[in-house]
Amino acid sequence: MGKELRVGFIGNPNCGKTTLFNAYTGANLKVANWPGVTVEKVEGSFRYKDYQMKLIDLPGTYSLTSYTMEEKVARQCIFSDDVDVVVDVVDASALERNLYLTLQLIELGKPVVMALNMMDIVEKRGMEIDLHRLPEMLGIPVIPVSARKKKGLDILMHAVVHHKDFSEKAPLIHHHDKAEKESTHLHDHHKDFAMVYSDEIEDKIDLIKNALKKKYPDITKSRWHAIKILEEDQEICARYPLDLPQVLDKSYESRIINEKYDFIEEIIGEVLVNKDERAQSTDKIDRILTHRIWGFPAFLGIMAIVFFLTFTIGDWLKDYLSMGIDWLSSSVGSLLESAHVSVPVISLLTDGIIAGVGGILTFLPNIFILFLALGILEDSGYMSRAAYVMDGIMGKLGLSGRAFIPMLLGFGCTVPAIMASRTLENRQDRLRTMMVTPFMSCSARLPIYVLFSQMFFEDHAMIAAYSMYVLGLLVAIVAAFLVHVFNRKNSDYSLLIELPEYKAPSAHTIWIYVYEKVKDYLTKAGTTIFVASIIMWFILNFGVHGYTTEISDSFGSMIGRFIVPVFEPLGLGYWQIVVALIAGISAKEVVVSSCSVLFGMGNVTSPTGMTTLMGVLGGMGFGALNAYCLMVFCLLYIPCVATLATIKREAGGWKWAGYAALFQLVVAWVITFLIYQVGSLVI
Amino acid sequence: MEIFGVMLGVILTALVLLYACWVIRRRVRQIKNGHFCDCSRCSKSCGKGSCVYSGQQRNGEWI
Repeated sequence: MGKELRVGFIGNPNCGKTTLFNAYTGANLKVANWPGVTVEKVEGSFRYKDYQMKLIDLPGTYSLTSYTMEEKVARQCIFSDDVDVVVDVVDASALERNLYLTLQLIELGKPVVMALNMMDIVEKRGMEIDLHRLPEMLGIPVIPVSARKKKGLDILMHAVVHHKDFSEKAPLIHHHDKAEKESTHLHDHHKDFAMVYSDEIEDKIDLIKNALKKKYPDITKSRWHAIKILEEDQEICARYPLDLPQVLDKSYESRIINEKYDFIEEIIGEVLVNKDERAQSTDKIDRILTHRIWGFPAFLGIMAIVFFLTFTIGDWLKDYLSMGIDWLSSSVGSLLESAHVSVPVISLLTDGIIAGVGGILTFLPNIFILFLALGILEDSGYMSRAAYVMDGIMGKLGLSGRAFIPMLLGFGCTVPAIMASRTLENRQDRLRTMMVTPFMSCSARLPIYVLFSQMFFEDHAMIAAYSMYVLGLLVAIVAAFLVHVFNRKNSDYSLLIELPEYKAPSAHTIWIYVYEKVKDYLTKAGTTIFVASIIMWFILNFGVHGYTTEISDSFGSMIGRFIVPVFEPLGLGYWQIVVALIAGISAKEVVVSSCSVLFGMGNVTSPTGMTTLMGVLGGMGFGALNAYCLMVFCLLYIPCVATLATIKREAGGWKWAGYAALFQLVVAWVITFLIYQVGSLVI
Repeated sequence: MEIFGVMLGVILTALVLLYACWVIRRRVRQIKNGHFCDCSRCSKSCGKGSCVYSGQQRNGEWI
């Protein structure tokens, strides 16, 4: 059977911890939640020589305070008997940032082995790390690995096995320059600990340690507990209260943190050679892109470029797809007619399915360009800057700075954006973010903007469509503020986000990203849009007397006319538009595919189709202002069914999904009403 | 010829309806299992929106 050894993997987010973990465990792992919390727990196992290694992938964290659930879970696990050895996975290319967690882990007192990951990136950048000096200064083994290339894995486990019983630090060669700082300590801590604080702090630690041992004789790791009490760590102070008013006169947390970073700076100065020059150019760019005043306009400008490309290049390619869909529709229709297939079946296939699904497929180039641009922004490192820039604005509105990250994801799809609100610890913040995120214009609405802006705004089509994204962002911000006003509980957490260095986007990464998005779009067209098109065709071609070619006798017409009065003040008092909006609840793209069916056009997105549709709409009195109001209403009204279901799951009930639907409907109605009424006076 | 047309029409309609039923069943099963995206990554049960959340990716690979 062999001896069992429990190893905990910990490290900063994005350090390659999970890649390293998976390199050992492969598919042999189990995913669950830590008891009582939503933090994921991943366990795996494998054999190494005589040992059955049980690996635990701890949550990615920057430190071991007790502020977030991830930190608490990681800390508790390391402290408990669940872990014999800690593997601290460190991103070698960001050594300075990662060492803070390393020092905290060493202070915990369990055997720690550092896995210095991403050494291949370090070499590529021409940097060098002194692998003799680093373990000397830290007092722990340091093993260079490359998780992606599976290098150094055996040596790492070898070090883990040999370090598991190590209760004393290796003799430390480095110590603080005693010529500058005369220590008055009773004991020379420099021989015992890598991280030695200033005299005042060390004196207090010694006094607290003695008090702890006297009052709580069974306590272990007294030094760590003493440091935590000095930092006024809530959890530790509650568990081990002490009456030492002269020692514990205030919180020493920021001093302890500063002294740790002073030591880290010392370490970096000694071990890191040829620090990456790319980091300096990142700082120069960030001076503009994260500027207090220019950051937000820069963000708007970059998004404007994204939409410019989406519209110009996307449209040029779209016309070819439209021709293809037109050809398919007429070919299928002619073929079935010549085979004497009945008229309703031909209508179902051509006017229902091909028109509906085909209409959506013609927007594939626009979707492709949009996600290509977003992928480039993401991979270059800009998107985290956008979140950072928005943090200031969100903070003033009482929303957690972390809330903007989920909202930013809403530009792609609202469903994962709602799910990403799990990163917010505070339930109130999560609910507020879920109410507000659907206002961010997702990619599903793009076909609506492209169609109606091109029909009614021609040369200004791009501006009209771009204004939807800006409006969505503004409404989200104002809505967040209003929700905060009615529920004045401030966010507990400030934004802690990694700003990676700028880099040339990787073609491979972007290809994977865009491929997945295009695949998802096609899947949606072939499933949800397909079914929605059939249902639309049915309600528009069947009435109380059965199949009808007179659309005004259809079920759809009856439903639309019943609800139309509600939409008249918004400039949308047309039953066909109302039916399209109702259909759009299944998926926003269905608004466009419905227009093909509603107005009896084969392909409403082709140039001919658009001209014809414009003529039909114009004849009904539907003009540019109405088109703009339609786009605004589509931007803001009830989210799609998938989003509502996600809100229900994340918020814990249909009540919140109902609130979200109602809230958005009311906001959409009011804003569209204002735009139409004011617009009617001006135009 | 007309019988052929009728039969072809019936077959085509049946195929369309069968496919539509399959899509609806699949969607209902996905929603019951908590997979709301049409995104294929939801089958991995990430539960964090990591299909677009960059914090979980590096160089296009999951970490």
